[in-house]
Amino acid sequence: MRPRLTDFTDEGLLERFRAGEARAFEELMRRHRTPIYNFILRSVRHPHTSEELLQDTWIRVLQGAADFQHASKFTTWAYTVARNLCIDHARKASLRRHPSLDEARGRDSEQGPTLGESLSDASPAVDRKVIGRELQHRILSAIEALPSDQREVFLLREYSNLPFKDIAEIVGAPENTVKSRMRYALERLQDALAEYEDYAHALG
Amino acid sequence: MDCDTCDELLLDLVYGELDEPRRTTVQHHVDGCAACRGSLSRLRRVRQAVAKVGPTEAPEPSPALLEAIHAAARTTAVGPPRAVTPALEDVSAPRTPAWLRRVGEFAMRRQVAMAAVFLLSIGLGLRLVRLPGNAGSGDAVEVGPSEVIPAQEVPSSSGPAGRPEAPARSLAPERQDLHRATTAPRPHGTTPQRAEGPPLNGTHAPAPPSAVAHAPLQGNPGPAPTTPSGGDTLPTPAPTVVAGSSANSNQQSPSNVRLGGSDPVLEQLLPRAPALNNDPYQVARAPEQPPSNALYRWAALEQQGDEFTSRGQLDQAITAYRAALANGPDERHRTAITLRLVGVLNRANRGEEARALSASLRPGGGSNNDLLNALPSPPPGAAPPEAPVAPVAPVAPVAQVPPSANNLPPSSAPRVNPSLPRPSLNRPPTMRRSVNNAPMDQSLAY
Repeated sequence: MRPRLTDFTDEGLLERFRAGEARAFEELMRRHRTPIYNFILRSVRHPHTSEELLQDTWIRVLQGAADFQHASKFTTWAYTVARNLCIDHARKASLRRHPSLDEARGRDSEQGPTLGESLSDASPAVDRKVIGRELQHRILSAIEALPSDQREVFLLREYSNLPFKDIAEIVGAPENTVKSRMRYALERLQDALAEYEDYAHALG
Repeated sequence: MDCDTCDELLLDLVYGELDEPRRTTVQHHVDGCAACRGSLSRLRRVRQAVAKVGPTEAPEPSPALLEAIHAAARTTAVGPPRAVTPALEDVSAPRTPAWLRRVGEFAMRRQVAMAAVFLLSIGLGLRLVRLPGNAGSGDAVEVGPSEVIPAQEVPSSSGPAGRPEAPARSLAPERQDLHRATTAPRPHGTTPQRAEGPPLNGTHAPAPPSAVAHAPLQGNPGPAPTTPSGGDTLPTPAPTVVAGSSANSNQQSPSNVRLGGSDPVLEQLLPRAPALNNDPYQVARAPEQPPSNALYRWAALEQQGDEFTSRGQLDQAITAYRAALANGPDERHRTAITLRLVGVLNRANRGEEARALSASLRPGGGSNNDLLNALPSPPPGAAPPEAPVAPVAPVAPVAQVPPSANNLPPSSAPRVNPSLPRPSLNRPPTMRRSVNNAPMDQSLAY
């Protein structure tokens, strides 16, 4: 019996794709698109931009698939691509001398909701309590306020569930450094969320 | 275990990254140490809090992306030998010899790329100097290796248009060219690209570009395909026409031109996408690079190639495509042109060259694998600068100077595993809103 695509590892899927099986790549996207999208979304904050960067990520992965080497994991590679795109985007945004049509109303009000608003709109579960939304806003604000090197490590570990070793490879830093950043990030978040901890427990 | 050691391992414990023996050891210490227990508790509480933010569902992949995946699946199957099942193996796929891959890897090295950019920059400088001498043969001005742009206001005084050198230039033509350089839509310096549009389309381009583009390849009879009038056929790189790039590219690639042995879906996808030169990322990375009318040359040559291909004049098409590649198309069009060249080479029974080119299509390899260092890969089989239709040294594809990791914030400088493949900067269509980028591009260029 032919094995199902869902039974393959990421690298196995990539190998099948390289053998000409397009569905293998679709399965890869299905597996990873939401975690990668959330990593991008929480890095660049704007849903529309994030969708574009996610697409760009897949395209670059697609283009590099032929030369992918198994020395690395697929996720490490894909997140590296996504991260570089996020950095590019941040640099591009920082170079803007004046507001462009692309981002006509400034960083915090670009065509649509902020990340917090989009999250609370997109996920029905968080609408159950106003206080839940408030907490999420607080959490997201705290995450966004993190220094970028800490934030990316935090996002990759906490939400993308990547091991520190892989994160070290993605961000190009020693694993100990990555753990230190993670520790700092958690401490900052803890400080920022201190007054809401009771709410968190109440929701738990 | 002391507290310092334990503290270092608390994160691993919280995230489940400890093996069983160490987990037991740490847990044992925590049980007997109030300070470490407090640290662990705080870590868990903050994790519990941030877990309240659930993931946002990612959007479904667009049809264009799915189309690109299927096209890429067919393309990637044409690659180096891999262990694939016989049923999946494309027996007709050309295989790249190992030595060719090594050559390709050498060509992809950073030093080689930097040297190429340096040399091509010199070429650009020389070309700027030479331009006056190439001026006008009555109704045409040589602006590049092969594309001839009409310039009616320049009298015929300085020799044939196709002359690559002008050793004994008089001052007059230089002044004329100086005048033209300030008024004509062919900026070499800081003239904004936006200013190119109207004069090019109106005053300075009375003939369809496709017609004048044939001039250097005279002796290849055959009517030019129907080309739309006006300047629309020129893939003007100005941001103002980004929205029209799709239509322009389609015009460059007549639908009756098929890639020999290539994927029509991919063929259709690649040229239609916004050119890299309109990519705000790229502008942000290399704002000092002026627009170059190399963009016009490769496009005209590409169109020549298409037309020769449609007429079955394969050798001429190969020459034209190679000249186009030598004139610094952006990454996307380089791929598109290379694909066409591969197809034509296959049709012309020049499979070895086609395989070499196929290898050049795949990014990565070698020691230079920085994901952001996407220098245009010099295809091993691509046209040399001395290609017949490219008498002038090709203009450096300077606009493609890759983003440099050095420009990134130190804390987040992208360091990529050397084993990772290096994707190119090609983009599929519909991936990016191009129109809105126009003002930003221009503002960033200066």
